[in-house]
Amino acid sequence: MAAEINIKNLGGGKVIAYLNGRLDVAVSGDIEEKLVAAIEKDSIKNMVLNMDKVEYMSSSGFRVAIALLRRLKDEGGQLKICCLKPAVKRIFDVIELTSLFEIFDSEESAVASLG
Amino acid sequence: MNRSAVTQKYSEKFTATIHEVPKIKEFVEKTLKDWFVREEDLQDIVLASDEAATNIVMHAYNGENKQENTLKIMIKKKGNLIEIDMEDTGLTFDIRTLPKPDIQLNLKGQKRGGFGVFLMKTLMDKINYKRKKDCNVTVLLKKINDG
Repeated sequence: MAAEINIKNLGGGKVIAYLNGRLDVAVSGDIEEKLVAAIEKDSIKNMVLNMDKVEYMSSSGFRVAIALLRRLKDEGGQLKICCLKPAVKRIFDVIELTSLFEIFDSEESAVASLG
Repeated sequence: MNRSAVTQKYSEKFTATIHEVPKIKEFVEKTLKDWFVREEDLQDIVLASDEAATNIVMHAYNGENKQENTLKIMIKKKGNLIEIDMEDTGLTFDIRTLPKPDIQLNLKGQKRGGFGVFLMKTLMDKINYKRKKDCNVTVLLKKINDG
């Protein structure tokens, strides 16, 4: 299944973006466009990317995450990632990007870290 | 599709577009599952194949996404060695020559990507390339665990 996005607005420029499905080259451009559009439309500064329902991610998914991180940091905001499936987390480790992102086991802890 | 259980060799031809890459992934995944390849090895080979196919579409075929562009995949199992041959008719393109990703340039937005080739090189044991007539032949190799 191609990735779908649902966005939950927490107010105060904070959102949780839920990704669902696979995050690969066929869908990553569309996902990035939709998330960046949401950031611009609602003046979002802080985002939690909940990837609990992402069963597969290729390097195209990393490009989306890096683009979001850059965008939010430019606005003085933050990107937190949570709930990675073991197979996806392993790829973050292999590509040595774990240190680049703040990754949390639970959505609650990721949201709490936004302050 | 040409499937021969005796020779442990499956092949299929795909259209070389980004929307076809998930089908290539599924073909590799199904074949490896048929061979009862261990989950961790399976995930590595599937992702490396996805990245290789993506790079061929984007570089050998310049991301044209034309229906006439083709990518032939052949998967072989020889003992505990998995070999994936990818043959395209695009521009001369040796996947091994792509540079390592630069995270800082990616963060600055001055460069995008480069992680796919790094993943391929890390997840597979070896990547070979040769130009055969008007084709690029990219070969991914990985020894799998029997257990």
